[in-house]
Amino acid sequence: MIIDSHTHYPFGEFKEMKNIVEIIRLARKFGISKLCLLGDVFHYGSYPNEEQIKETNDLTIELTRKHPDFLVGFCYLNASNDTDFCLREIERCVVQNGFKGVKFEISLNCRSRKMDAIMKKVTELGCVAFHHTWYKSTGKHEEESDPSDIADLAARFPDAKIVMPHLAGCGMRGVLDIMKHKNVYIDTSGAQPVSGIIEYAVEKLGADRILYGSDVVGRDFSAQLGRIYGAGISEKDRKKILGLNAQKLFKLN
Amino acid sequence: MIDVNVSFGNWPFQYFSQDTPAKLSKHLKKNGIDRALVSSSEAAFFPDPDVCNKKLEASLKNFKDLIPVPAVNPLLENWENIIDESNSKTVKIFPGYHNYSLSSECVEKMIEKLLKNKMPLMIQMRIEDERSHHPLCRIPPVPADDVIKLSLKYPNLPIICLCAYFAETVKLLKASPNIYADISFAETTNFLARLLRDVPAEQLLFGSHTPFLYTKAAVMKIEYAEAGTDIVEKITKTNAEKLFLN
Repeated sequence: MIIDSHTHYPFGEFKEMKNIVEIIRLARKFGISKLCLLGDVFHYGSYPNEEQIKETNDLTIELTRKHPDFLVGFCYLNASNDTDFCLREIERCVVQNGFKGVKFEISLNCRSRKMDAIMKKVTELGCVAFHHTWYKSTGKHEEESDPSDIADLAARFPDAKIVMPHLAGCGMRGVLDIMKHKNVYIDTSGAQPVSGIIEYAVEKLGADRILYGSDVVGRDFSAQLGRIYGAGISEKDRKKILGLNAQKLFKLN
Repeated sequence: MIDVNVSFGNWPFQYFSQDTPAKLSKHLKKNGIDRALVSSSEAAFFPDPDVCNKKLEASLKNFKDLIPVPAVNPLLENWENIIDESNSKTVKIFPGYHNYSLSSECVEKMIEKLLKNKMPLMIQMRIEDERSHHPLCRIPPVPADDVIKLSLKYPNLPIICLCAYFAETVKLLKASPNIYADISFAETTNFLARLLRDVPAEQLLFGSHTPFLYTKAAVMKIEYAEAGTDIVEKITKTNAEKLFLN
């Protein structure tokens, strides 16, 4: 079983990929049985307003209703928006529409205490918080979080389930940052398929805390799965990373 | 398959599993790669790349499937000797790491020599994603526009760009028929079908960027490519044979 825990379905500039049926066809070709949709986090820039957030989540709701067996929704949020709006949006997406968690991007560093009410809600609901993360030596956005920021968030909310995406972007330092925070998982999505980092993460975190993700549509299922199949790890660990961990964490059938 | 983008040696920021030629050869074969063009990873930083070239050649001498490609720094006095003394069909340059522009006078002289010897030029556009460079060791990528200018100035020189991103690959290959690119860094959903909408298969080459990247990633890009077998054959074999192995 393969669950892709990190994909984005776009509107706007990627018009040729507008057809979700085409994305699902491609995913199935690789043996993928579910795609987690984290929303189009690029279309409205770094600081989407409330209407733009609603529009993004409306699209995810529409898609997950059309393909409930294949698509798993996550609620895109800009935590710098009004907190009450964020809480209502979580209610709408997670409680009313069965989304499995929320996704934060680069609009607010996760050390901000403005995150707290939202994280409290996420923890109460028992869903998952994805928070974009990267250790960048160039091109870092003003509010972008790095793995040390995620470690801070995890310490403040030890009962929350947090996914720190982009293993290759977080690097060894990022793995070490979250090592002691057992409530933090890491996904393998994005960046180049840099060799050795999966093995390192398995050694330091254990395979149970690692999820396969692709970052499609910016990336390709082939190269992103290739890094999992190419890693020198046990078959048991590979199966956990490819889908078993996501199935358990997101409570999927 | 022929892999045009393989390295061997040490690297300050990664440990490689394929740390002997035997391990590298076995690893590539396991991934369906019969022959590989191999450069020294150490040549990017070492003061005289020819020291690395000699070490590489000695290491690979018993491995017919691993074909050494010498690194050249045209700023150094020995660039011409490296080209003259090498049995290689091509040379590789690292403009970002060796800190010069493709418009430099030294590059012109080197290209004149390559044209005389009928040798294609390999350009390492980058080695790692710039975002993940060590903060005190940020190496600029080679600007695609500089490669295009060079290709237009020397239309008879085949230029092979290694580790170009998807958008760069499209820009480079559309600009000039004498530019080629490997697939190691080019990625987007259904990448090859989308690439082939804009660029001809004749200018694409299979390259895995082993051992920096997982070899299987490039292999799966080809295994799952939505392209005909004739196209795949060109990318994985015949284009490289025409350029390097005749």
